[in-house]
Amino acid sequence: MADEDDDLDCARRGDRDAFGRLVRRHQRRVYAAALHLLGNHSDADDVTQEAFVRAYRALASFDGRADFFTWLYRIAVNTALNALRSGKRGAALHQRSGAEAAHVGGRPEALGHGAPSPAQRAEHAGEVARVLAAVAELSPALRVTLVLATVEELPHKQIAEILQIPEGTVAWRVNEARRLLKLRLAMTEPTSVAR
Amino acid sequence: MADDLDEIDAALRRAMAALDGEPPAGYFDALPGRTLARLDDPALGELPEEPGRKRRREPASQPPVRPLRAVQGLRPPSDDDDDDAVFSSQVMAAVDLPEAAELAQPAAPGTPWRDDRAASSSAVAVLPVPPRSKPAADVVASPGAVPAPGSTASAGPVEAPAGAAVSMTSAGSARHRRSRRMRAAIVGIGAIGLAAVAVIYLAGGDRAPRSAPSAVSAVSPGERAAPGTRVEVASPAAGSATAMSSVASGSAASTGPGAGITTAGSRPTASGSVAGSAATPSAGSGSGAPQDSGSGAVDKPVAKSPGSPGKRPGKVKSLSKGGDDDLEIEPPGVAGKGAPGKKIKSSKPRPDPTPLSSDDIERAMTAVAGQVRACVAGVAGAASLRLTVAPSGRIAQVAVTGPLAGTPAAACLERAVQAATFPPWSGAPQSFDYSYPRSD
Repeated sequence: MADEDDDLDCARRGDRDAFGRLVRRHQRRVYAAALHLLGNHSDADDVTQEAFVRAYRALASFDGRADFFTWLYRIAVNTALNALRSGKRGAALHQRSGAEAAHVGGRPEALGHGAPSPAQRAEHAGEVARVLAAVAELSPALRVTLVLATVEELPHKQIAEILQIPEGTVAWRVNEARRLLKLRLAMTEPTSVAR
Repeated sequence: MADDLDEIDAALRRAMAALDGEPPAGYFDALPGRTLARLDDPALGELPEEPGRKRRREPASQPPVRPLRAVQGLRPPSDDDDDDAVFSSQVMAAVDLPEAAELAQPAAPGTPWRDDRAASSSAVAVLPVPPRSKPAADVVASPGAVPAPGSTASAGPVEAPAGAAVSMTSAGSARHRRSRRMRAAIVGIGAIGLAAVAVIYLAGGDRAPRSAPSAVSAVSPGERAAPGTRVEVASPAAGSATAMSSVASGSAASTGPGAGITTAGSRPTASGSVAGSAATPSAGSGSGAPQDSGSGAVDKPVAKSPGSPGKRPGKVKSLSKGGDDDLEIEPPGVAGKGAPGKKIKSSKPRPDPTPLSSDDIERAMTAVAGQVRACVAGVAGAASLRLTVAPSGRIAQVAVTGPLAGTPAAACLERAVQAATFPPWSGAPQSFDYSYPRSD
């Protein structure tokens, strides 16, 4: 943490190398959040870089009262949310085909299985595609809140701080997003699953 | 139910885990360098907009105010009155006025409306005038003007190109559309007139009784009414159709720029003037009421000012003896018996030389406290602000000070506070510090 503080001080004074170290330290979590919110690498990459650049230019206003990562994360989430609201991004979730989902989901260990059979892979790809499509149909606000709560596993209080909304609103949004997601998944459930 | 939700969460996590294989090899090694290379990108740099801000919910495809030509091109072929109202609003807001030929683009039977508009969007079509049994309606594009059938409405700010006056075709569908368009324009004019009256009324509302005036004499801020002239926006007697005109100079009213408009009912006002006779919306704002072509609207001079010299300027008072609700706002310097027979009636700026009082500030800041609270919910630190208010009553400058300065909450705060309005006054801008107490 002391290193981070030093880097922060240097970066505030315009030391780009120090800021580069900050980027390296936090890039994976920022990118992961952007990826989960936007659904594809290209948009996540854009938003990640944009968030870091905006953070760099706003470093002078960072007073150190909050954790730097929380502050940075907030910028990243807001950047992603704005991107979603602009309507230019986030559609990739919806457009992703099952085959692509199977490809990007090529990490069977993440699912707690051994080497999957082709049928299992196909089933998994189908489920991933369905879930991603359902998530893509949520409004940006619901989507972001749900992902932060469920995937990023942030406490509601922190989500409220990031999104600048009351905690009660966070809870409502999470429940509403889950309800809608369940509804849409039920509507798109395959009638028969080959096992 | 809980199991279902857990299952949803699990499915979501699995799906998101599937995404984690997205970044190509070496991506994170290169990311810092690529990010540093973008630090000087002028397109980036400001903190993103806060999500807590309430936005107008409108579809991304909803166009902002655009030239009328473009608005026409997108008008759906719908009979929905809401569409008409939206279209009318867009038309009234558009500044790039269309060529007359486009406005009166004839539609061949069976031709899709959208195609008509698309075809006409690139060039002004000068169409032959077909023989008609009725007189052709020469249409000169003016969003504020609603020409009656058979009449020619001249537009001050808008001049139709030579030869652009085009007759409407005799096709029933075209007339129907035109009728709808006229209805929509009337609705738009009415809405703008109502808004103008509301603004005028609210501007003087601090001192005016809350009864709805049937006649409000006022000069809007954009007008250049010379002393001794009078602009009046009046409604006809209660129960009859309201005839109103936008009095903003240079607006899309049917008179020329700077020309004032007097539209009044047949009932004489308490100040003794009778403005025109039975001006109705269908007659258009340019007809039925006497007008002067000079700058500012000129009506008959007021023979006598009923104000008393001791009264504070700017006071709104009832002019009628029998408890009528005609209102008049007197600017400073003209009130009193010593004033000349003609006088300016103005509602803005409020001729109050005193700067803002603490009550004024408290009232205005409390009005936006809800939005401010939403911005700082869950954020530590007091919301301290440094504000500069222009004499118009609008916030000219706002800066967040204290612990929230420079945080994303600060931007949200600044936007929230910008909505605050203060009573206008005469003099220099006023600056002050303000802190919202924390409720948590």
